[in-house]
Amino acid sequence: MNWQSFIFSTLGTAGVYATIALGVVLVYRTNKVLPFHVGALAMLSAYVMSDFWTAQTQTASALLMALATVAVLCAGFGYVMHLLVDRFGARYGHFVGTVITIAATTFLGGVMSLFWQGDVRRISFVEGNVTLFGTQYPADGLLVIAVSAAIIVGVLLAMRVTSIGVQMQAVAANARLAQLRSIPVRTVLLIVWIGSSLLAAAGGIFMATLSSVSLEGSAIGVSAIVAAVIGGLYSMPGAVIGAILLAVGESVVTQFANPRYSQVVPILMLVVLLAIRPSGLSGSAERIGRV
Amino acid sequence: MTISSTLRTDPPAPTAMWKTGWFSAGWKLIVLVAIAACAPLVLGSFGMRVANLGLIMGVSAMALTVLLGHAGLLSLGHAAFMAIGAFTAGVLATNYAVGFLPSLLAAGFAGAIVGVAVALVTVRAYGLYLAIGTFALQYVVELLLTDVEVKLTYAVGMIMPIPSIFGFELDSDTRWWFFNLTCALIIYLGIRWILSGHIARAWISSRDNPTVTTTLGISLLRCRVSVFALTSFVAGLAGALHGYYGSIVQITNYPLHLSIVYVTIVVLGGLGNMLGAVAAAYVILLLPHMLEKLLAVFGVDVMSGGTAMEGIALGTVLVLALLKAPQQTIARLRRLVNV
Repeated sequence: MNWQSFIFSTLGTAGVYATIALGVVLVYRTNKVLPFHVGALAMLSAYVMSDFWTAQTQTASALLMALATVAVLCAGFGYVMHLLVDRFGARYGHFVGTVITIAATTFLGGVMSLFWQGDVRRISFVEGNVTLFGTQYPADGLLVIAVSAAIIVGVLLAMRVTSIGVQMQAVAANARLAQLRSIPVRTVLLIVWIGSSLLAAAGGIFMATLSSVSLEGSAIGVSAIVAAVIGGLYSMPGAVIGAILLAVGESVVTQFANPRYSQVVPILMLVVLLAIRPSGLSGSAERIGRV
Repeated sequence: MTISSTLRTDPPAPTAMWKTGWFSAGWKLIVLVAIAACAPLVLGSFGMRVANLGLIMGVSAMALTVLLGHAGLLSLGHAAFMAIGAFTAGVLATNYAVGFLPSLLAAGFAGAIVGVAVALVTVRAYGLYLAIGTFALQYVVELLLTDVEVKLTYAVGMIMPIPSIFGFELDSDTRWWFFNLTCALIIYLGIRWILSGHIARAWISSRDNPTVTTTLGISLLRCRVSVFALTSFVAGLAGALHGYYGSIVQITNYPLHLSIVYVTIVVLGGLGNMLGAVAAAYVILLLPHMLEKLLAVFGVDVMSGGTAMEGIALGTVLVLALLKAPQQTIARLRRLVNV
């Protein structure tokens, strides 16, 4: 493997992690709930996508149909999570909310093994290779890198420019004050859950394009959460940087050591981080709430 | 119910002092044990197997309910501690021919050592960060022990010998039952004894208000280490029991899923409620069988979707228990009736 393909695969992985990690930060900042279910949701969305996308002739309308189906499913799931965590679970605190997302993980895992029985699938959007600066790259991979970069930039910009982005920041900073300033907090929270579900779905579909979708693939949720933790759980650019660091680490281990151990990389990074600097790289001083 | 409201955090009144210690469970516990001792008379071979497995799960859940309920630390790596215990006992019993009771104790201490290590590494991490840390532990332990299993047994798993205590062999479910019952009783009383002392009060106060706890001169580090040492000792011991009872030790028996099962058991049983945890262990253990029977009524093929349905049911039960759905429904119905 030469350095071009090394960078190529690292960028692809980083794109997947960063997309999901943005959703993790979004949910964590506004709800103080750590969404453990993002990995399972990503895989479920990829399974649904693979059902709709390979079954039909690969036309633009079929693609739109498949994407719309996944989007509607994810929005529905986001709504359910919003109901469970913010409406019914609010009185029990954010800690119970986190355990609800763990329950959702088990639930989604059950749904996946019920419908897809542990199939391993791949999604392909564009066949063939593209030559850039004298090196051949798989077109699918380039597409993933481009789209994930667009999504990341789009989300980062949306948080600063659009009114809903600013409202989300307000809710994240102080929900009660935001409510007093007539920001519809519940609607904002609902949009946060739906948005993070869509981001997880996008990450899952990217993952299925780059490598494959399987039950075990839910572990990307762990990587995404670790990426967000490295970034300090409060900062979206931090999460993107965390995702890049993580992807580099995993690529190096895959390249120079046993690929099986690449899944230890996020864990090791996490352990080092927890022991030395629990507040993450961005160093927000806020104390993470106790149980 | 908030977590703090499940437990009395203020010291008991002087007259109530006599009731807090060992004997507070008193006659209820004696009746419970007496009923349990009669179980072999009533239950068949399947029933005895369920009874034994449930009790071992219950012992393990007792540890987690103390960690989560009293110390307020969410561990998603409970299955990992059990796996460490089971593998310690497995290696000692199969490779070094160590006896049953010594290897049980060794399994407990192996669990405790790893628990202390986890506590030391994560001492600066609170709440959700600790949850991620133990989640990570689960992954690492699964990966490492898979390697151990492949190296030592060519991925077959360690076949455990029939345990014997001073020549008395635990070769039937009934004999196992009395042994497990004794173990569970000793561990229950032991934990209760610890809970009635000052160490547990320190845990509770570190859970409710770490700043005040430090101000009172209580070391948070010591709290964290002691509660992890105790609970992972019990978890390791329960893992070894589980390995001996199932007569095989395999890493596939201790997946992340199992850790979530234990969290469900603890939430269902009520945080910090040890007898509740044992009861909930039986409910969760029987859940797949109940589902099987229920699905058979509707003519659903169980073989294909059994584990999948279990996951779905487990998630649902956990959410309902967390949101206290039954209590909420009853309260709502009451309001309806009153109107």
